[in-house]
Amino acid sequence: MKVIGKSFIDNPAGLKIKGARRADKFAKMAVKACLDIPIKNPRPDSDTETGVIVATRFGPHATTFKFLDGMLDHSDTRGSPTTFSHSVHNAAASYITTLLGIQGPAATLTCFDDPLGRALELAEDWLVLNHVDQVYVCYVEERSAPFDGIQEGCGALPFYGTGGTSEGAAAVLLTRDGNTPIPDTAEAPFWAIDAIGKKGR
Amino acid sequence: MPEPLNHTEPVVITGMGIISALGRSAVECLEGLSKEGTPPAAPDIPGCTVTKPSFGAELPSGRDTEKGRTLALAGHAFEQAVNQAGLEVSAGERTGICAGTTVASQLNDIEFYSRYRKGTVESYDAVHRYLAGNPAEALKRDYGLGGPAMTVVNACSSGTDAVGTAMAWLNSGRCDAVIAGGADELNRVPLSGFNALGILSDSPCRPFDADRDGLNLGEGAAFLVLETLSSAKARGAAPMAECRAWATASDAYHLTSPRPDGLGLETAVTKALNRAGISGKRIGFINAHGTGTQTNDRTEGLVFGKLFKSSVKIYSTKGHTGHTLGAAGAIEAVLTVLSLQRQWLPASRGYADFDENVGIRPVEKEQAIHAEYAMSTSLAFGGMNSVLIFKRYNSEGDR
Repeated sequence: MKVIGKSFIDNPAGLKIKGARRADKFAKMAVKACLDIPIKNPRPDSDTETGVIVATRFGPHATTFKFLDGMLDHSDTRGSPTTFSHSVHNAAASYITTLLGIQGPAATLTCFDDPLGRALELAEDWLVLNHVDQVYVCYVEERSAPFDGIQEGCGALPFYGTGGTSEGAAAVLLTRDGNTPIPDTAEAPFWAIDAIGKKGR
Repeated sequence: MPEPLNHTEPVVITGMGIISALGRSAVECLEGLSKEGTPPAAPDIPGCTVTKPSFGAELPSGRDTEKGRTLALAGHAFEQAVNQAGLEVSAGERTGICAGTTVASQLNDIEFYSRYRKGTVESYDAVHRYLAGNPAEALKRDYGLGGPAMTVVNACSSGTDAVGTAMAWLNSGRCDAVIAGGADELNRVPLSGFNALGILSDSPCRPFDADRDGLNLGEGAAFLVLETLSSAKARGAAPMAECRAWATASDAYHLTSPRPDGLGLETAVTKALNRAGISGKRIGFINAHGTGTQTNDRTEGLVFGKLFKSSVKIYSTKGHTGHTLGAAGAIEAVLTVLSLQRQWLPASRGYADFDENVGIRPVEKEQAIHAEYAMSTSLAFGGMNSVLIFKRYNSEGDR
């Protein structure tokens, strides 16, 4: 694999992205990280040979809790369709493909043990198997008031809210040329930050 | 990078497990497809005020649900699959697990969250259950798997894409065997969410029917043991079918609506056929996503009509199982392979009247078939379109 572009967003405040006005913070950070990767050669209008992989431990939990707030404040039958649709894990990938015009494969994956490592392995497989010519890999995590409180209460959320930067998104654009080894990504947020040249700790 | 597998080496299925409203095993589910079955009913979930009909699955008595219902469903199907395959799951680092889900990826325990908001939390068990409940990681831990574990959260195509990811791991040489599938429970949160989206039917769903008015949610799980043919032969395992190709493509259009021209699905179907090395004429039948919503069924009808004309038999099993979200693709993969093995198709339950805007007549009566290849499709929220192609396995070499 070869890294042909990388980007990082660590300040979600005031993010405005054309075409993503209704997107939540989680999706906006992921989209912004991918959009900011400089592209030397413009992709075709119908780009079926570029893929997107989004990796996260916790997903868009702020929006999930917002939807639960609606259920508790009103009733199960009065939930917000917009909030629900943004609480789904792959909403961020949907915004990325739509705003970048990518019609290739898209996957969102979640696990607590090294999600970025799993995403890079999958990207490598897609490239090796010629499923794509290039692939965006985006790692994204956000903070929410409920998770802040839960972490304060039980401290059980792995890697949540730790280090110099506790929410943000990092994206790389990979191609099959070259031989960049997959790094040890056990502490994925820090690797993601390091990968774009900004030390997280 | 891993050395890719020689592409002539097939990926085969050597075990399958399933639980759904149809039954608690492949045999029960196959039998259930030819019966009228129990109609969907208002969900029996404490506190849930959404009463739209849904399909529940009946776990065997004694199955532990302490870790969560989704994991209990997953464990039931997983055990059937590995037992049928005769697979020693703790056999090392080259046996992986890939699972699709929606519900189990979120901390959406509404009772816990209600207490949290009131400041009356006494126990963080719900948090620990969430952290221990990532399906792939939980199954890896509970059954002693040594290889990679990944949970795919591609909404309604998660199960299909979990099987596709397993194929990628096998084709790239990363694994020798992968247990892949999906699991999801009926839960207050998606019931509320889909109700808010206005796509839940008040009656049993009617995929492809002129009067269809929405979907029924369901619950269940299915897992398949996929391995390279050489791995299966080395173990003395009997292949049930070949998992010939997977492809997925994005609409790049809208968060909740499929692309009206069906280009994303058309791309996925075309790529899957190319990877399988066959033309559309060789597809004997399609187990469609067929949810019973206006837009999904119209998009599938448009694309299938364009690519297959009237040459292929199409049906949906959602009228038997409901839409099981992250499990749907895996459940339908198992049901597709069962139909391929038995050379038999069930009626597409709920269909009665032709819709010229859909343009296809799904299978109306169960029937014997002669099919070598079969396709299963999943269209997902977020504009994802995923396709699997299976091939009947002939042990005499004419794969």
